[in-house]
Amino acid sequence: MNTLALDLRQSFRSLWKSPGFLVAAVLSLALGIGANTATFSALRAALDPHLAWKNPQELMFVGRKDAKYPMLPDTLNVSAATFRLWQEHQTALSPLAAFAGIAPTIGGPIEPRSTIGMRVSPEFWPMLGVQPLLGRLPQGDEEDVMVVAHGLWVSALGADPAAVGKSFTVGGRPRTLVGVLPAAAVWQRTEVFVPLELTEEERVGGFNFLAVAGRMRPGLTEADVMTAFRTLNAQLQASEPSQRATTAVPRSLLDRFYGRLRDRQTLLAWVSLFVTALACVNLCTLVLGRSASRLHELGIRQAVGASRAQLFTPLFSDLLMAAVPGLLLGWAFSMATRRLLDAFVPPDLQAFHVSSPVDFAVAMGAALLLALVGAAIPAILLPRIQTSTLLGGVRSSAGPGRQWIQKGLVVLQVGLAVTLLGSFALVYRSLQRLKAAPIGISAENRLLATLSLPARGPEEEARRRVEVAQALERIRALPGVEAAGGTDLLPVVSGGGFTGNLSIPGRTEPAFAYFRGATDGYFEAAGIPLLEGRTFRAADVIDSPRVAIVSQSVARDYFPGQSVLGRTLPFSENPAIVGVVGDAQMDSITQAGSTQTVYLPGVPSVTASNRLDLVVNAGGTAKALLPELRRLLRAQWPDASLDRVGPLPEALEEGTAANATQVVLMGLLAALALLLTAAGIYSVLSRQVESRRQEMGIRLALGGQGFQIVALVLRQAMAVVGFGLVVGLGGAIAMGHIIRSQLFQVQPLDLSSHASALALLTASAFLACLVPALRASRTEPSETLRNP
Amino acid sequence: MTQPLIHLEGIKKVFTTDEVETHALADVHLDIAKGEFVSIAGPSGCGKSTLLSILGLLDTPTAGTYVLNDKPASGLKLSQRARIRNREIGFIFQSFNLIGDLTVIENVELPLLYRGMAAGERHERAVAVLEEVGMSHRAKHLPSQLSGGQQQRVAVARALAGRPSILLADEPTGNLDSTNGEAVMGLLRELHGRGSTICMVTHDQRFTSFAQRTVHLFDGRIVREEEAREQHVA
Repeated sequence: MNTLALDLRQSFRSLWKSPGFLVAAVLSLALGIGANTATFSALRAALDPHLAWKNPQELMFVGRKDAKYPMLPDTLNVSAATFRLWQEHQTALSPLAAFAGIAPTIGGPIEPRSTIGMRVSPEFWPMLGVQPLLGRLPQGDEEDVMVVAHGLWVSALGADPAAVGKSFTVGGRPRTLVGVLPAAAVWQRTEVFVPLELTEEERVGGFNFLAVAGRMRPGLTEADVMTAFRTLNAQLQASEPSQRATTAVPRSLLDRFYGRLRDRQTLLAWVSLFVTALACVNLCTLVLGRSASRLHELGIRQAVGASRAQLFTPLFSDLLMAAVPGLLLGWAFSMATRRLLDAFVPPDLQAFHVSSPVDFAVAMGAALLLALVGAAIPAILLPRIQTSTLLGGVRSSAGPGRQWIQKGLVVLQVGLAVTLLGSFALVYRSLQRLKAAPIGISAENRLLATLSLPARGPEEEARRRVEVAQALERIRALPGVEAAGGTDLLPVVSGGGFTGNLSIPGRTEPAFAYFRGATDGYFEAAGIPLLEGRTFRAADVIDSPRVAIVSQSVARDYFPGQSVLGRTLPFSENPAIVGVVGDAQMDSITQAGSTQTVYLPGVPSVTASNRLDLVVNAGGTAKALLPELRRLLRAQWPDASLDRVGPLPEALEEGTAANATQVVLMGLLAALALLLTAAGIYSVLSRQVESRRQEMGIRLALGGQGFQIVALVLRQAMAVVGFGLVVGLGGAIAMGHIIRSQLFQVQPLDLSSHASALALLTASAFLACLVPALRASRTEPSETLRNP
Repeated sequence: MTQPLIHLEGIKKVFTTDEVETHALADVHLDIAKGEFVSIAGPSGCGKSTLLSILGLLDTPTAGTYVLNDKPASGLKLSQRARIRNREIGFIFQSFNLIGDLTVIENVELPLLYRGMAAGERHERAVAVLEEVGMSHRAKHLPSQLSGGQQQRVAVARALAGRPSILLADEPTGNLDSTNGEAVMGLLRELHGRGSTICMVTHDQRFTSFAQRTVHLFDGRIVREEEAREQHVA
């Protein structure tokens, strides 16, 4: 301890005099700590969400795989009949609950507000095992009650405890608020929970609208549940004709909810790991440089009896001096990146994405570990100090062994940086492709208004259509408006939605399609081109819903070589196809091929949703129209929730926001990595040039020209860099394969991405080498030969 | 003669670089008695510094036997050599070799610190040896604030602080002007007078007379040993 105290004093004095090492080490530590801490806190939120559910790892989601639609995922909803069968025949999960998403407008004593809600079966609450913050949970078959999430209680009900017991309207139906959930009881983004009451149609029909989850019985593992469900599937497929194509697929509920997030976090963790490794290598390089300049002093210490362990403390104390400011700077860096990282954490988990003593402890640990590794590696790698050079006044210089270590570190730094830059280039190109991907609608000069209309019974559907038509007429009358139309779910912005099989006569393969409602003027407003026939007219929407328009891919894929105009589709009222329009991406942009669409006239339509997306092509006056548009819509539907009124491009940007944030964050880290690497190369080469001053002096004394010295230094340095580039290229390609699922239309071997990473690193390395090379060329021969 | 403090027998040192072998020492036999002041002299490259580095356990001989204070000192591990250096040997270098960022007293305390001595005792001993060499008034100064002669005095104090069995001095006046050189040699002589064993490398004829015995090296071999007819009186 005494030794460390003395060494710390010495380090302080020394670093005060020449702070270059301190600055570089602090920055390296800050980067390593910051990257680590920020990623750790985000990862903690994703991998270990502190949910208020009882043992959330025991919860299992049960999806459905439909053998008739192999292209669809194994997370499909089930019908009430299938749910009942599962409840009766399986024993691995208990309780087994069903739930269905809704998007009701909540009103009553508060301003109407659209919410995300869920209808839940009576087994839902026992399955979760949660205690309410206020009030109670619904019991048995209780009806006309609701429970709200903590977030809604705070934002809409002013965190008023007296709200419990009051009556509200949920989707137009009066319900009593019986309970408020605690803050950590989040079920994705659900704000309102109401009991699941099945309509007759839902009870007996084959409509698949229920999601299913359950809790593992005590003592069972996930593998046991899988086995139990395999048995159940075989049994039901054999005994129940309706279940022949159905397979129940259980998986961890946390995986189902947060699996995608984990993919993103994995990429982030990799990047963080590389930056940390780079910071560590940079520290080693710095400490090696520092130890080289202290070699003579270490020799003195050895001469007066210091053991090898005691030689470690001077190096460690240097890093310890850097560790404190490095820790603080790293902490500040992690706080600054927190906002960026929030984009990686879903809103429902952001409440937990707060700094905690654990994060700080991790930062401290990372700082100490980095300092220890940074000091230990050079201490281990140091050749035996040539104490004998203390005699006769001879100073030691870096031997060939040390030079190999330094070269190895440069190769490692360059390799890590190229790997990081290459990965960044892949993700960046992926984002570019994502943004440039054709979505089938035009966003320029368009406004989007998204409304949640108050729920009404089916008997009032016709009146709602008239209201929509009236609103559109008023919008079209606004100055500058070229076209306006509505749909229930606008492509990409409101992805997903109602899908089904077209059941085309004579076709054995399933004909999967998205179903959308659309008004007259919608295709013109959204810029979806008409290819054949006609678009919807006002009369189609109001009077005659027996027509349909199909997308180009439906016509091409399901009716190859035939004209589709006039053909009828075998569902509902057998609507006749009156037009073919261009393809538009119905689901998210990354969901390639989600373009087969059948448009039916009017909103609300097939989805029976209260959701309305209005698109307005307002030419150059788009933004100026926003206040008037908002006023007009509020006047038309005073009790509707105006979820969004703004430029369409901004809404589309949101779809790629998480990817863009990922790119920004990776870009930031890659830029820092590039800087670190350049600094590392510069530092190593400067020392090498310094140790070769005599050699350079001799070369110049023998008639060598300055440019020849520059060329010599550059050639030797770039050869080492080149080796690192090759190593890094291999790393970048390997990383590309690891993050393949995060890439969109970009291959891990994408040449232009890797080439740009190599070019950038080569240019940076060249500049880092040039300065020491120029310094070497200006060596004064007489001076170096006189004072070697 | 009683059992010598240092006994070298058949010491050989060969440096190998690439494919070239350099015989720095060949068949060196040397005994140094406790309390003796021995000077090693010879032209540049004769092996003086190599011999001193072997005596000081900074280097190991290629062959031969080295006994220090009745204990074999060849074939020791690094840690054992460090321990013996710390307790038995005090070094005085030509270029002083003080650590620039440590104060005078911290430099002097350093070997005691590595020995694990308690802070109070360490400080007392450092102050005492600084007083002995007349440098206690500069205890808080950094080496860069001292003259060459003063730095060498501090180096002597550091060598003495551990109360070693032997002081090894490598051209202790090599970087000093004549006045300071004389002063440092006077200090060594004084220490010898108080019983210290000293082995000094020098090629300065003026100072060989400070020693009781001078060993002449040439091409790695001891070619002559001579006893001082009359010792220099400061």
